[in-house]
Amino acid sequence: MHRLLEHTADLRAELTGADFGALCGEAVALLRELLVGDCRVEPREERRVALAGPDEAERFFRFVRELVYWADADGFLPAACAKEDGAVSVRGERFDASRHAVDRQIKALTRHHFVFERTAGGLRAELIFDL
Amino acid sequence: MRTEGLIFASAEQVRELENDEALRQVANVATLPGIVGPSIAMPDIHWGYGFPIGGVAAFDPERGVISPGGVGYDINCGVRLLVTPLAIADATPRMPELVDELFRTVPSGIGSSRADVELDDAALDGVLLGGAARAVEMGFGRAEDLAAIEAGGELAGAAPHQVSRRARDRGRHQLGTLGSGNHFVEVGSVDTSYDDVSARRLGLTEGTVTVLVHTGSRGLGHQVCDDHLDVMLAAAKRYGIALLDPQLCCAPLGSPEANAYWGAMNAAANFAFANRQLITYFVRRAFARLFGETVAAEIHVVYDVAHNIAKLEEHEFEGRRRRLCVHRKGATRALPPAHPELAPRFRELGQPVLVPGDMGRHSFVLLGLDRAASETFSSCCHGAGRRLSRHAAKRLARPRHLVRELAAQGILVRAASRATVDEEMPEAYKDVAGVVDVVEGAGLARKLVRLRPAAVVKG
Repeated sequence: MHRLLEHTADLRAELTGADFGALCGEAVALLRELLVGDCRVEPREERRVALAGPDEAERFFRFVRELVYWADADGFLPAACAKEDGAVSVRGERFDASRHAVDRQIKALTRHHFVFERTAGGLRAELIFDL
Repeated sequence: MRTEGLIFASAEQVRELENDEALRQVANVATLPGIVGPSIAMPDIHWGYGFPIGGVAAFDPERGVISPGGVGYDINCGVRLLVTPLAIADATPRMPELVDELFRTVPSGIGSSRADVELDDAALDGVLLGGAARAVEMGFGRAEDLAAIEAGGELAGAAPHQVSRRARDRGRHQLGTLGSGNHFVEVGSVDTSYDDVSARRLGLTEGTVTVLVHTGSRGLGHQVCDDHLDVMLAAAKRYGIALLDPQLCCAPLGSPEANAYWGAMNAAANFAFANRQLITYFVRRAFARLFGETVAAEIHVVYDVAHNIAKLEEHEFEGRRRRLCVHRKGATRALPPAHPELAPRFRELGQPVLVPGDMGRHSFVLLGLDRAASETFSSCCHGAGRRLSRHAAKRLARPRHLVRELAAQGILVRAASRATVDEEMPEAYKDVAGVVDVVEGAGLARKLVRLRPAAVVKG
């Protein structure tokens, strides 16, 4: 599950998932919604993010940051993802103005108020994006 | 806290700030090593990441730090004001065509890029070093434009080799593009002059058509910030700097990490100056297509100033002249009359301070005053400042048709997305008039003219 939280200037979201892979899936869904709303994104291209970082929180942070980079650098829109051994594979496609309506551009994922914690239901994260 | 916080605000603005995260951020900045003077916030203060938006802080070069969080992701996000020879009464009948032409000419929104501006690595290095001056050499504008840009549109200290491959790839096709969010190209006119003589010297007579450009260093700058935040996080730990917010990560000025960021930040700032220079070129082309080459030839840059930057500057503090690293995050430099850094045309006036409002109300041009030099390290506000979250604004805008509402007020809007228009609705911002009243009342700057929007291109 994911939902937007109040923030004056930037965009703040809460994500929950049963495990790391599910949380990554919520991040993919969130990014897609933020970028192109409810436009359909086809899984035409597959990319991989090698999970790097000293702990799970940092690995998740860097995964989401990579999604932001792809969107801005070459218009890659994520559709779905799957956790693999030491990586996450992401399927999606490039932005196509004939099929996708732009919702907004995301500059960056900030470290301000970044939350990543274990809960009774699995994992919970809070993210703030600079728009 | 190592020092106090100093917030410029009206009683009403103070009430609105109660329980706002931005106040905590002013306090957080006050804990950074080597801060000189107070942690300052302008009346357009709101919740940012690391520093508050509207934040100003100066650091001692020997004991202080530099923080990418004190500059922001959009390095040298800034505003440029152009003045045209057109009167608003003559331009209004063609405003719908003009806003469509500008929307076509200046790419905006997600993945916006230009196929007509190709930059290989050598050309990009030239832009990172030479900024707006390099853009003029490439044929985008005129040499006279440079005299009306902060630092001539070219900051010293740029080190292109500190700009990563990822940052280059992200920004390579984005030179001459607007981006999204609160960035815009706005056609308007001077609707009130507070000092006719000074305003006339800048070509800002009542009824004259103006163009405001608000954008920055695009993906290249965002990536420079991201890259160096990682470095600074490790550096802060290594140098034993306690952080109340990881986004305040920093390194001692003069350290290898600080020097690397300094070189990359100035390179990104030059990219931003070049970006606004290219947009100026394409704005002139749009006017040329509609109003003819003679009109385009008479479009001049009034001023161009950064509001997300860290600079080494000379300031008088506690009775002595000191070199300080001044961070301005959502704050504008405001040099007083006679300041040696000002181009000759501004020496008697003071530096123009460009303060855009929301797309439904006004924007202001101010002039810097001496009091800013003594109180705020020559800094002033940079805009209206948000008061509603994007989420709340969208909820409020959903049942309405903002583009139609604004058109009924004589303001045409073209945007890459409805979400941006909704999130940027006028009610999402404080009234900029209240913000500039505070800085004028505090003696930081004085009002020169007020601009009224007529057509806005949003990302």
